[in-house]
Amino acid sequence: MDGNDEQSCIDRVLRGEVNAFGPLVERYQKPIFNLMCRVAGSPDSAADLTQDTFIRAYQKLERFHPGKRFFPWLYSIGLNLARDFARKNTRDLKTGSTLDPESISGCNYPGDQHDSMCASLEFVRLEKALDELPLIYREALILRYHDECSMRDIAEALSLSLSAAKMRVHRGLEMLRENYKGGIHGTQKRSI
Amino acid sequence: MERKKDPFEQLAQGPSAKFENTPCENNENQEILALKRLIHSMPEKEAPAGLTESILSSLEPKIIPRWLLIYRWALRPRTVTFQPLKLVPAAMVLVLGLAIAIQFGPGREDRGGTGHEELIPVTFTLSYQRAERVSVVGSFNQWNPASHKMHQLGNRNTWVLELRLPAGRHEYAFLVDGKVVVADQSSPFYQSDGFGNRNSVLFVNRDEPANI
Amino acid sequence: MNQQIFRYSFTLFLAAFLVASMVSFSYVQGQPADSSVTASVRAAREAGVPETSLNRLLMLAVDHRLEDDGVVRLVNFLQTVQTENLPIDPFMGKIEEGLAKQVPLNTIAAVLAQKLDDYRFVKSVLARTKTAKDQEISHQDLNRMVGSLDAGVSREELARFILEASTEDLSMLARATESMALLKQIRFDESLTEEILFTGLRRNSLTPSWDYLARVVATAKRRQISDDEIASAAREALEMNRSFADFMTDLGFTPRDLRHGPAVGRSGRRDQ
Repeated sequence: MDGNDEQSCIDRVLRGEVNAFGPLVERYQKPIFNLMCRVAGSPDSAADLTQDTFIRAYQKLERFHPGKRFFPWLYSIGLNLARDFARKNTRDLKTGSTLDPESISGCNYPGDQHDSMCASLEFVRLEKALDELPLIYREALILRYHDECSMRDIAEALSLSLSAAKMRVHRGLEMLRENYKGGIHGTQKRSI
Repeated sequence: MERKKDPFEQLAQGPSAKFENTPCENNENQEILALKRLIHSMPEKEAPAGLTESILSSLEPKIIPRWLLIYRWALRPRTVTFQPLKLVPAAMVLVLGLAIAIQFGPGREDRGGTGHEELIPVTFTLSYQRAERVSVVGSFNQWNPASHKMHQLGNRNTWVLELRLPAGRHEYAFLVDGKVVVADQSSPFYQSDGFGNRNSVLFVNRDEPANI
Repeated sequence: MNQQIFRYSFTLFLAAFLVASMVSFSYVQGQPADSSVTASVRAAREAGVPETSLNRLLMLAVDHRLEDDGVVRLVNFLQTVQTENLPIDPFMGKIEEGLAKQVPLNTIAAVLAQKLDDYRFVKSVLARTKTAKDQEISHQDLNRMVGSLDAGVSREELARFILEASTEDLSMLARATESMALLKQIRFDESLTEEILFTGLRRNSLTPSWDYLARVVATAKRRQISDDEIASAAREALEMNRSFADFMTDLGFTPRDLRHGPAVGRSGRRDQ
């Protein structure tokens, strides 16, 4: 589904076709749900926040500027909801690892499973390091390197200027590098 | 003494690092590159089943005024295709017409603000009991309550917002729960809003004469 | 040869016509019917109301679910403002403010009408001065003068001040009227206010840094410095064309005072 298809869906929604919103939800529910998982205390809360994001986007759809990309606009709505939620709730309700614990535990360390376990641990460490970043820096990195958004789209999604968005990505990487290193060394000290 | 393990060494050797041989200037760059690739291959959670249906079932069909549909239709960019070689003479006619239109067309008012102004930090604070949400609305954010929402401190009756404003005079008020207009009691200057409320007035200056 | 030239020229003309037709027809297909809002927006645009202002207004209409006739009313009002060569932004700001504060549209319209009347009043007073006859006042300066009416200055006070001030600099005059209003709010002696401001206007020394006069005076009063002492320091600085920083130093403000950034709203308190 390209930009024209999205615009076509939006036009049909504005003409009263509720179901035309479905393809947009299908396309973007995963990144929005994952955004909310990073903020919320439970998968249920994340699902609620995801639903709220799409409902709010639907309510404001006539404000969406034709010709622009839908995802950054949707993301900015989700981010505002995420911020509001984060302010109202303490951070220790943070949801657990993105990974299924089953994929880590129960390994007897044959060669192939050992590699798989190491990969999972890397992601757990990465997630922990990302979690220590301020929200905007974390999201800037994910939008850039996971969702492969352009800097312009990132700026719009985060409601920043282009130069501010670039700074967030650059600085975010530096902070992530420090967190990642610190996490490893901390783990090693405790393991002795 | 055990050598401290470089976490990035492990990354570089692990299965997540399917690297092409890119020359890097130093270790720091390698570490950053490794992190970028790790973020890229980070697994995602699947959204719960039935989420789409749940969302759609809670929506009502939109009823949009016709004038807005027209306005949006007019805003949408269009793509026109043509063969330049065949249409060069006609294109010259169009260019000439556009040049005339630009020359004699209506002007645009400068809305002010170069976008290059230095911004000065300002902190807004309000004590208010039993508020659900508080925003600062003012001349610097087109009176938009969604633009600058305040957040609560540990003492839940205190609301704070830090932002950066250009130098000059700014009119503002606190908007509590979307409907109660509260002036800043600590500001000695005010402006009647004409609706029966008073807005507060703030002077922001980066230069030495007025940073008090 | 002539036939070839004619055929070539005709081809050129036909090509131009076809291009123009294609571009216009591609937009005619499916073009919706007109509406009263569209007509009023078009008229306002033709009158010179900036596109950005019209876009802002239409977005507000969507956000606040305004009825068509309400939108038309506001658009027509902006057209009136534009036609009288008045600044659009203060009126747009007042519309935004009113909608944000959930003020009924009729009330917003009444406030806008009052504001328009204030602008007409100030312009009529200026027209009676020699200075305004020779130069056009900028929108920014006009906004400041009209703003003093919302800051507690009466029309009579403002008119008297403008007519008695001896200056050819409308920006300085605007600065002076704003300062007059602000000093009145903090209950600074009104006769001393006039002495300070008229000195600055007469000596042409009321430069942009004196925009912060009222703020400094408010702080000086909190430090128990008397109005007479403040006025004396200000008059001297303006009479001798010294800097605003010198005026502050004369009042005893230290470099730390001069550097510290502002923080607002600390003591605001409301019990529900």
